[in-house]
Amino acid sequence: MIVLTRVDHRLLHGQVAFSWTSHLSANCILVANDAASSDQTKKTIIKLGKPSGVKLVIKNIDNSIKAINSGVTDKYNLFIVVETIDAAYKLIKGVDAIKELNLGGTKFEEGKESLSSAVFVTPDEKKELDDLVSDGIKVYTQQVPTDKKKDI
Amino acid sequence: METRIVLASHGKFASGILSSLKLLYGNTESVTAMDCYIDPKYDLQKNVKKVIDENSDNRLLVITDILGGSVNNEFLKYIKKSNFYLVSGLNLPFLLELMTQITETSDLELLIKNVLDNSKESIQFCNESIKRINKEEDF
Repeated sequence: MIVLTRVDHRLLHGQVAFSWTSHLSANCILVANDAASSDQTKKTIIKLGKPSGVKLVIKNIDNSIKAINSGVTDKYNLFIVVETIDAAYKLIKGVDAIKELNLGGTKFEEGKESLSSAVFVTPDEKKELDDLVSDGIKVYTQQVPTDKKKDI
Repeated sequence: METRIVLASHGKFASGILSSLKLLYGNTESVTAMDCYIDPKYDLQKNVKKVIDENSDNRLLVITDILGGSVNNEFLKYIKKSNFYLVSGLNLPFLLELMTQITETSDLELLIKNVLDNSKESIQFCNESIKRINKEEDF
């Protein structure tokens, strides 16, 4: 079962590794990220931040889609973290089982639209989010577990 | 019965870690910080007694900065009191996991023991730790 799919540009960091994982009672974290899946240093850093007692899998987006659709992740309380909205878009388009998208944090850059104090999107990313919403996906901003969910 | 958490430290460690907790977890209404000895005339006994008295109807968990420190020692005087729990060695991993797991109905004693065990594992010498990380995990 997928307990949460989250966009967070910091991937597995304090809020994600400890607050969210514990809050969701997730027992498996999937970091779906093309760069990290092929970069040993990035992988090591992510693995070091892994909360105890939780399985951590790092895969690129394509292999993440294949793995989830194959059913091998069904036995887990799976918490998926992606770095960008574009990655989330690809993942959700490829996986029917994902019905919700949590926008946790994206990098601030000049010219981006602000959806919350921590989420900033380009016009292209906004289009992708709108497309997901029209597909019936619940898309909301929520940085930490005790924040209220805010639909976009 | 409400559960209240009090963080108590020498100096501003307690309010500092509470600010970190807010950033990482969010709502911390049930948690208060007790920065002791900021004022040289600080009366520890009086302030500790006040915390204990104010929470006589609550389940109270106090987490202090250091075992053997005067703050912990003062709270230790109340250790036999019912619904009073004292933990020393305040740290963020412990606090974070505790906050995400604690509910009004939870078995607090068991929770404290489990969370304490987990948080000890997060204190690491990273230079050594990375040498142990090479295992690839898959589903």
